[in-house]
Amino acid sequence: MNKYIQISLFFILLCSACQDPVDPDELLNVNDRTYIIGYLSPADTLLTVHVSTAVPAIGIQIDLNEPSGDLERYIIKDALVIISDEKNNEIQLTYNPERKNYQVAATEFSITGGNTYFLRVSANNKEYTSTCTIPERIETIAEKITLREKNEYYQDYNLDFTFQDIIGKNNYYLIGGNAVIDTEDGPYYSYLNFELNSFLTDAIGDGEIIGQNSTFSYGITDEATTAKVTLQVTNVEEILYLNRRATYLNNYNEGNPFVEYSIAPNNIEGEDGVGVFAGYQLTEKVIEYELK
Amino acid sequence: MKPDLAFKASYSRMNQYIHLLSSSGIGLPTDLWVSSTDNIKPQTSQQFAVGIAKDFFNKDYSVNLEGYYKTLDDVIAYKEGASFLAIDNLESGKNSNWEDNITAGQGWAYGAEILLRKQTGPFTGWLGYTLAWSERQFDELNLGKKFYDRYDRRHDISLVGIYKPNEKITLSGTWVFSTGNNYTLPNQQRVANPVGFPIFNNSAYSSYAGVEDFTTQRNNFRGETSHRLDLGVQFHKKKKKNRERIWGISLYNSYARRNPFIYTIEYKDFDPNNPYTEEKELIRTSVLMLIPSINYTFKF
Repeated sequence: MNKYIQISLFFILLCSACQDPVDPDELLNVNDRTYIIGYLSPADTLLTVHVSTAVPAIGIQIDLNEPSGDLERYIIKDALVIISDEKNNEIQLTYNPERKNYQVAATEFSITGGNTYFLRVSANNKEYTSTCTIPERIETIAEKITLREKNEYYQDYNLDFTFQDIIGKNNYYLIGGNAVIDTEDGPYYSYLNFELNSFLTDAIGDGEIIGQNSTFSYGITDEATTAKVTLQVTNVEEILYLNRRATYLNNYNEGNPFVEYSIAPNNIEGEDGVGVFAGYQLTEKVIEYELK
Repeated sequence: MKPDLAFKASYSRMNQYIHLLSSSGIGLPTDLWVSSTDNIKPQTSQQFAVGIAKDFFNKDYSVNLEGYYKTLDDVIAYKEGASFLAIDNLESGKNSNWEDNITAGQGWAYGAEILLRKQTGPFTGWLGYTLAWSERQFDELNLGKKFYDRYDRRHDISLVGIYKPNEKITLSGTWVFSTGNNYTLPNQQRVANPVGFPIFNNSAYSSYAGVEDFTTQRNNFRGETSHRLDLGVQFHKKKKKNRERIWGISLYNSYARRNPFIYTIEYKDFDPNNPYTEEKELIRTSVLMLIPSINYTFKF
């Protein structure tokens, strides 16, 4: 009798759970949005703005055979994209089918630190606007490279690098870099991946020295003698910092059900517009480091 | 005001030393009750309520109408990007301090309730309807903008009927209906990393398909409404010395409504005609459908 009760209970539980696909048209009801993204920097050789359509994430088929070709359908190719400055000088960006972006040579329109720039986009019979201001540039980067571990297979180096916060403002920094080591098979790139620590602020104090560390390594068999190490600090607008930080966290944690989602900010004005138009300044330092 | 008419007004201020800590994703609900600590202040609330109650037909029927407005301070939530697990890094086993993953904010809850009751006779019961809003604001969440709480249920209805044809049998039925919960669901997709940026980090975790999912609003997705009908019958038998034995049979969710328990995003089944394609679909998992039960009660 007990056995039958247990079987019945198991059967009830089994029949009591089920999974059904939900009709996304009924439940999600998401409008397509116009996705606009552009980062301006005085260091740019090309001024670039991307204009595409953001579509529902659910119920859209993606061709993995040629994903880059499949992305064509997202791209808006007939938009009018204009950047202007505070003196009403303006330049129209033209569509570059290779890069799938709107571009113009930086020599034709000057981008300088401290200035404000305006973006105007006409796409799908709608108007979008945004504004950005180019932050100041970090002047110097200091670094210290030390051998961390050496064995018969590889040499591992520790890299500490520091810079001084720009005084008198709240600043937002993204840092990165790479080490290029020449091998018989060609250059070997080792990215200085600071992961979430690449997002820094001056919360520790105005004008303080800010620092981080990373590592790079090379295989002994490479017989390389020097590494070309590039250190990068970008001083970025707050919205660019928050946007890239949220995107980084969401990509890094994708598929992890135990992590809270991060909301990325948006400064594109206009009906169903989404994205970021922001300024940044890049400081790079390249050093030749003798591998010991 | 009169023997069959009352007007009510109240103000209350409360401190609560345990907090509800909920995740906002579509996965398994991780509602935790956590205590206040040196770093997490007790939650405080103030509530104003006004109401009117009236009896009809010699107190056979009554109606209650009430409105409320409640403010909450120091409510807590997980920070964006925070992990709900005690172990932050499974590879290194690095522990995270749960308090570091928490942020405090404020909340508002307001709405109106109406309750109609039939109080006497062999058939009794009530019909209750609540129209409610529940909002939250945290400086560190949703870009500091207000958003609707996970349990912001706009409509909530309960209809209860109890019929006692004689002293030996009680028949009951309960129908409940409520608006679905709110979840944060990245429900749109865009081209990933479409413009160059000199710092290499975001692209390290980009998908092969070249698109990334996103949303611009916390709790942007409202789940489906839930409703169910529970039926029951009880057989009473009076025993000596005022004792009573009751056999009960009940049926939970008697019309087997597939109410949402959790949602998940999954890739559609492999399509042999389009082997190199992928498509996401939203899956609703339902549990507890059509659960019969038998119970026995002995009162002494």
